[in-house]
Amino acid sequence: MMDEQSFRLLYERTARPLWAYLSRGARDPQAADDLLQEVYHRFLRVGAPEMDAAGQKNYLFKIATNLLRDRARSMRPQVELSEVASGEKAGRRVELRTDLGKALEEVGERDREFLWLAYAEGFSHREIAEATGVKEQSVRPLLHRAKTKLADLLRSRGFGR
Amino acid sequence: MNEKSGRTNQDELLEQLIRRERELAMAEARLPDPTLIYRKAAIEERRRVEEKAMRPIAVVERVAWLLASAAGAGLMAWSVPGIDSWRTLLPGEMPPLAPAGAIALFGTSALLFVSWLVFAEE
Repeated sequence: MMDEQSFRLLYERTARPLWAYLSRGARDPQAADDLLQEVYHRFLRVGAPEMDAAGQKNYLFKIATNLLRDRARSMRPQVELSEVASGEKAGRRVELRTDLGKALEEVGERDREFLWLAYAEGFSHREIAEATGVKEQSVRPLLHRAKTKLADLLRSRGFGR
Repeated sequence: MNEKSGRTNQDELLEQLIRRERELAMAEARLPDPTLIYRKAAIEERRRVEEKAMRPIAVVERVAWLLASAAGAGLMAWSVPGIDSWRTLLPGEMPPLAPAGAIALFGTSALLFVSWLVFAEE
């Protein structure tokens, strides 16, 4: 296991963007708190394989993506209830909602992952492929599809008119 | 369209919006202390290492139970004729000792074997 000082440095560098990814992915800030701990916990448990800073960040986002997918799978039958619950929780925490935030919620899980990793985190196609488990060649068309979908959603909300 | 990069204005606008959304989300974050996460993982790691180290001992323990059970059964088989011959050394009419001894030894062996199974379950 990596030493505490190295972990602290890694955490300072990655926790905030990772939390942002989890929060927007889970659509629930409180769930993001739990998921964030689980991401680092898993990272430490696997022994944090030898890799550079970018590799570590990519690996953390890969774990986060898997956790978000597991969560989405386990919550699918109770979507409506969870949406009500997250709405209630949101009231407890100051949350700034933008048109884009709402549109991102609607694009779907996979598209949101691609858009966030590409544009929010600036990941390359190779890094996105590693984090999401798709082939590198598939990233470009999938990202294009996600972009088009998001742009249409924003347009339907009157954005850019 | 930006000719140099092949990116459209729409791409750039989306990127700006998503980056802004990221900044907003990051501002919301209330991060837990990394020390707590690290210590929790360290405790689990230590427990995992201990369990791994104890595994050979548990195996040896089970093997010991199995050997003890087998030895009990062997002893029973070996001692049945001997027990029977003791009758001739004792005065008067004696109850048949061999079956009683055999039952006692078999019972002990069975008990040991059941105990081993119970320990193995745990």
